[in-house]
Amino acid sequence: MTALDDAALDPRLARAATALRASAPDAGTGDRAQQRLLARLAARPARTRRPLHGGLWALAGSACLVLALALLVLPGNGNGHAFAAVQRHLADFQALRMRIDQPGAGDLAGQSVQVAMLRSGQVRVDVEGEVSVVVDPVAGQALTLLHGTRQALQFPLPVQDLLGDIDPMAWIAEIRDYQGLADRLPEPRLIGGRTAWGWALEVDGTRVLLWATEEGLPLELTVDGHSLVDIGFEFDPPGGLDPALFSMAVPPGYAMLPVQP
Amino acid sequence: MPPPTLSLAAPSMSIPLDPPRVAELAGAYGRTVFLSAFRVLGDAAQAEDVQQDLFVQLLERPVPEVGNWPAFLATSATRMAIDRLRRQRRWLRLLPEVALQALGASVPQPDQHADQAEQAAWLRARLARLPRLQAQCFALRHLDGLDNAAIARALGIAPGHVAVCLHRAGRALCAHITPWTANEPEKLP
Repeated sequence: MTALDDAALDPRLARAATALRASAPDAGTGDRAQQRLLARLAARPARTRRPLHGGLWALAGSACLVLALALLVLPGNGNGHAFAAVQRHLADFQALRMRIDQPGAGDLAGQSVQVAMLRSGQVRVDVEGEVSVVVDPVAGQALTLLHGTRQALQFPLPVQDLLGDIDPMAWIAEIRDYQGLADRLPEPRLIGGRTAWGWALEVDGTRVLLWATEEGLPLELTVDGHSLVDIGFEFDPPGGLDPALFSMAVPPGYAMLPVQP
Repeated sequence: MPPPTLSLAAPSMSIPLDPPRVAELAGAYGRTVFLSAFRVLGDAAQAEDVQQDLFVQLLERPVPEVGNWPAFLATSATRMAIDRLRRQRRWLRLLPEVALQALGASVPQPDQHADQAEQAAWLRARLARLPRLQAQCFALRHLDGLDNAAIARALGIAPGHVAVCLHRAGRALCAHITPWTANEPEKLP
C-alpha cells in the first residue's frame, strides 16, 4: 500500500476521486449489513441473491460477435451448394427477427435481446426492460429509449459506434465475400415443427452450431461453451414486421434529452 | 465474463478456509469490505451483495495464502464492485458517445461547484464505461491507494502494464469531464 496520491490527475478528476473515496452510506447501514453478514455466515444458508439486471449487453455483444464470426466462416464453396443456400438467406432477406437468449442459469437467465431488421437498413434492438435502440438510415435518425429512467435520445445519423458490439448489420456485409468450412451434422432435429440440419463451425475455439432447413433457411444458432447462447432466426415472417417497431416517435411518458452531436 | 476472483497474487499455495476463520475475518473486516464496495457502487444494497459474495466465496473456494487480510479483502471488494458496476451499466458502453453526452447533460460534472455526491456519481458513471482493467487499475490506485507494483501483483499483470492502464484511464476520464456542459467554458468550442 501507499499513500493516496492524486497528484498526477487532472485537478477536476482528482476532486471526483476524492469525492468517491469520501462516499459513505447512511449511519447504521454498514452496521446492519455487518449484522446480516455475520448472521448469514453463522447459519450458512444456501446462497440467495438479488436478481441482477443489466448483463444482457455482454450477452448480446458476444452473441452477435459469435454470430458474425460464425457467418464469416460460412463457405461460399467447398462444402457444397447446401451451405451456399444458407449463406444466401443470411444475405438476402426482406425482414428478419432475431431472438438472443442465454438459457442456462446465471445472472442473464430469463432476459432476452430482440433484434428486428429490414432490408432497407432499419434496425431495432430491444434489451428486455432496459433499453431500445432504433436506427433508421432512410430518415437519417436514431432513437434510444432508456426504459428504466424513461428517457429518450434522438440524434441524426451518421453516428459512429451506434450499436456498439451488437450491431446486427455488420455480419451481413462481411459474409458476402467470405469462404470457409463447415461440417454438416449427420442427424437433423426439429425446430418449430421444421426439420433442421446442423452445421458445425469452430469459431475462436468455440463450437458453433447453425441449424437450417434443407432449403438453407437458417433457424437457429447455438453457441456451446462457457456460456450457452441461443439465437433464433425468423426470416421474412408472415405479415412482415410491424412498422411501429421502427418508429422514431418518442413514446408517451418518455422525457426527451437534448443532444448536441 | 469470468466471475470475480479472489486472487490477489499468483497463489503459491491454496488453502481452504474453515467457517470459524471466515467468521473471524468477517467480524474484523466486514465493514471495511462493505465500505470499499460502497465507494465504487454508491448503493448500500449492492455493496452488501458484494460483501456477502466475497465472504461466501472464502467459504466455497480455495484462496491463496494471504499475508495482509485487510488489504486483500479491501482490494477484492473493490475489484468485485468494479465488475458489478460495469455489468450493471454495460448498456452505457453501447451507447454512442453523442448519446452518452446527452445523458451527461443531466449528470453534474466534477467542477468546483458540484457537491461531492455529484462528483462521485459522475466518476462512477465514467468508470463503468472504461475497459475493465483500466477501471480496476484506477480504482485500486486512487481508491485503495495501491502503488503500481501492488496493483500489478493484485491483477497479475506487469507493473508497466499498470502504468499504461492508469495513463489511459486518466486520459479517457479527463476527455469526458466537460465536453458537453457549460461548467468549464474554456473547454467549449
